[in-house]
Amino acid sequence: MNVGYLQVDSEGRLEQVKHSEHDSREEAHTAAIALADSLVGNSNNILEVSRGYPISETEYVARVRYSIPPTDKQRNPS
Amino acid sequence: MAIFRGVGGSGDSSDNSFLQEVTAQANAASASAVLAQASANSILTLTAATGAAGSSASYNASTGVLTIPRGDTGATGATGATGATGATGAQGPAGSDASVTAANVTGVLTGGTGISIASNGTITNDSPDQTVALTGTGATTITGTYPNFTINSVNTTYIVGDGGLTTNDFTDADHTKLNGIEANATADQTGAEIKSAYEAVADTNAFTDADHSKLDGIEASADVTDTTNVTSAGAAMLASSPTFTGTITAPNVDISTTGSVTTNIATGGNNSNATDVKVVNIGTGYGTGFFAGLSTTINMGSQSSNAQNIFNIGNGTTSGDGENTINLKGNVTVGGTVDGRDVATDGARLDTLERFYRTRFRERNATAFPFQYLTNTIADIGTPVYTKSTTGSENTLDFYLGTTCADYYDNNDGHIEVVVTAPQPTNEDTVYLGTASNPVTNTSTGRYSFDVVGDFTHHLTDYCGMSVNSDGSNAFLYGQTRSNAYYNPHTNITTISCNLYQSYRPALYQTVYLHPFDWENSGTDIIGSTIQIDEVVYNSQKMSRRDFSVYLGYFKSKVPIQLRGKETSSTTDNIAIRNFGGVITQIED
Repeated sequence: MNVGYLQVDSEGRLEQVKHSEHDSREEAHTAAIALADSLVGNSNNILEVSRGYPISETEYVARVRYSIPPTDKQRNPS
Repeated sequence: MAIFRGVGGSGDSSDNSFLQEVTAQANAASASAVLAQASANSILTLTAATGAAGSSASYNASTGVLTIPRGDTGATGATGATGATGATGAQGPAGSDASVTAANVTGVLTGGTGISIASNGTITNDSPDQTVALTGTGATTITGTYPNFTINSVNTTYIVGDGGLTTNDFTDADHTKLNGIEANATADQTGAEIKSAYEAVADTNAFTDADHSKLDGIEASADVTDTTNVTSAGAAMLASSPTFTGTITAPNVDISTTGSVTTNIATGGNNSNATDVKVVNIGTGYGTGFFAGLSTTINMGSQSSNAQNIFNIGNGTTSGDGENTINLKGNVTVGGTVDGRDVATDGARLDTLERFYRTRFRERNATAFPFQYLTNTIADIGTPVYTKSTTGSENTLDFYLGTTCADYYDNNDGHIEVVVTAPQPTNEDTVYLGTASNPVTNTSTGRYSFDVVGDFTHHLTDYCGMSVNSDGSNAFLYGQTRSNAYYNPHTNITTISCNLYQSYRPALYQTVYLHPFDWENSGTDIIGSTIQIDEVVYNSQKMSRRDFSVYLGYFKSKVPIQLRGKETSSTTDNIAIRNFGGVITQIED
C-alpha cells in the first residue's frame, strides 16, 4: 500500500505525490500518520496525506485520507 | 376413857377444865360413834386407825377405816410456884394417841352427792334406785329395771359400715356388683387422671378449651345446609346457584368432564357502563427466573379426529370501533390454513423474496443560499446518512446534487467523494471467491482479469478489498480505476478486472478473498466512489442538478455515508452546492 500526499502544483492544480510503499495497511497507516505530523507547518502547498493502492509506478488510488495534522479519529479509527 | 390434852393446858394436874370439856365431847362423840358404828355396821365395819401427826383425818370407804391423826406429845408442864416447901408437882402423863370413837363426829364428815350424814353419824344414800333410761332402736329393744335389763335385737345380720357394723342388707346383688368392679378400681381419680385415661383410649381425642370455645362460638341450631347461613358466612352452596362477589381461590377446578356443558366466565351483558373491562387471566403468574411451574398449557377442544373445535374471538356483532387483537410472544404452529393460505408454504416462498428498505434524505439550507461552497480542502457536505442494519443486503446510494457554478471558464473543477465509515471488520463476512482461473494481462488497457466460479458481482464495489489471504494481508484493489466485473450465467463464471499494476493480484489458482470494507479498522473513513464536476461557464452562472448512483456493496452493518467535496482548482468559491438528497436502497436477501 502506498502513502503520499496531495499538493497544489505550480499551476494551481492539485497533484497527488507518492511518498512511500508498504507491505501492509497497518504499516501504511503508521507511515501516513508520521508523514502528516511531519508536514505540520508546511507552506500550505501540501493539503493532505493519503494511503491507497498503487495503480502504476507513481500513482495510487487513495483509500484513506489524513489531515495535517491528523485528527484523533484518523489516528485511532477504532 | 380417853384423855385429850390440848394446847394451852396449864399442865397443872388440877387444871382439868379443858379436860373435862374434852372428855364431855369425847363422850358425846363416843356415843355418836356407837350409833354410827351401829349404823355403819349395816354396811361396813368402821375401824379406827392412827394417822400421822399433823395429817388430816381420812376415811376409806372401801375398807371402812377412819383415820384420825393423833395429837402431838404434850408439853412438859411448868414448874410449880415456889411454895412452901411443897413438893414438886408430879409430871403430867405423856400424851397418848388420840382415840376417836366414831360417834357424833358428823361435823367433820361430808357426804357426796346423794349421800347425807346425819348428825348422829348415820350416812344415808339419799338417791337410791336412780332411774337409768335405756332405749332400743331399730330391731333392738331393752326391757327390765335397774339393775337388771334385758336387751333384745331381732336383726342378727351385721355388715361393716361407716364407723362400725351396720344392719344394711348385703345382698347377692351387692356381691355381684362388687365382683363386677375391676381390680384396683378407685373412685377417687382426679379429673386430670380421668382425662388422661380417656384420651389414651383409641379414637378418643383431647377436648380442649379451644374446642370448647369453638363450640361455644357456634350459634344455636347452627345448620351448614342453610343457604342463608352459608351465604352470610361468605360461602355458597352448590345447589343454590351462588353468586360470588369476592375472589374465589381453588387450586384445582373440574367443572365438568362429560356431557354437554356451558361454562360462562365474565359473560355479563351490557350494563351501560362503558368503562367496564372483563379480564380473564389464565396462568399469568410469573416471578424472577424461569421455572417449570410458571409454564401454562391451555388445552381446548377434543383431540379426536372427528372433533369440530371452534375458537371464536369477538364472534358477534362487533362494530364501530370494536376490534379483536391477539398478542403472542412465541411461535404459532398451524396444521391447516390461515384465510385459506398455507402459511408454511407461503412463508417458505416469502423467505426467498428479497426485501427492500428505502432511506430517503434531503438537505438544503432554507434560510441561506447556497447550501455550501466547495474549497480546495476536502469538507463534508451536509450530514451523514445511515444504512439500516440487516442480515445481509445489497446497498445502493442514489442521490442528486444541485450545484451552481460561477463565471469562471475552465476553473469549475469539483471533486465529490462518497465516503463510507468502516464498521468492525469482524462484523462483516469475508467472502471466499474461490481460486482464480483464466488470468489475463492486458498491458494496453492496464487491466488484469481472472475468473472465479459463481456470481460475486454484488460484492464488488469501490469500497471492497480483495486479497489472496483471508486476513486481508497482501490485498489488492478492485474499484475506481480500470476495474469492472461481469457475470456469465451460462458458465456461472464471474470475470473480475482490476488494475494491472498491483503486486498482489491473484495468480492462477490462487485463492481470492473479499471484504466489503477492505478489512479496515472500525471508524476508518474509506474513500470509495468519486465524482468529478467540470462545468464550462461563460459570462453567466450555471445551475445544474446531477444524479448519481453509487453501489455500496453487500454487507450487514449500519454504516454512515458521508458526501465530501472540494474544488481541485486553485480558484475557489466557484462551485456552490445548493442542495442534495437521495435514497439509500437496501435489498435484503
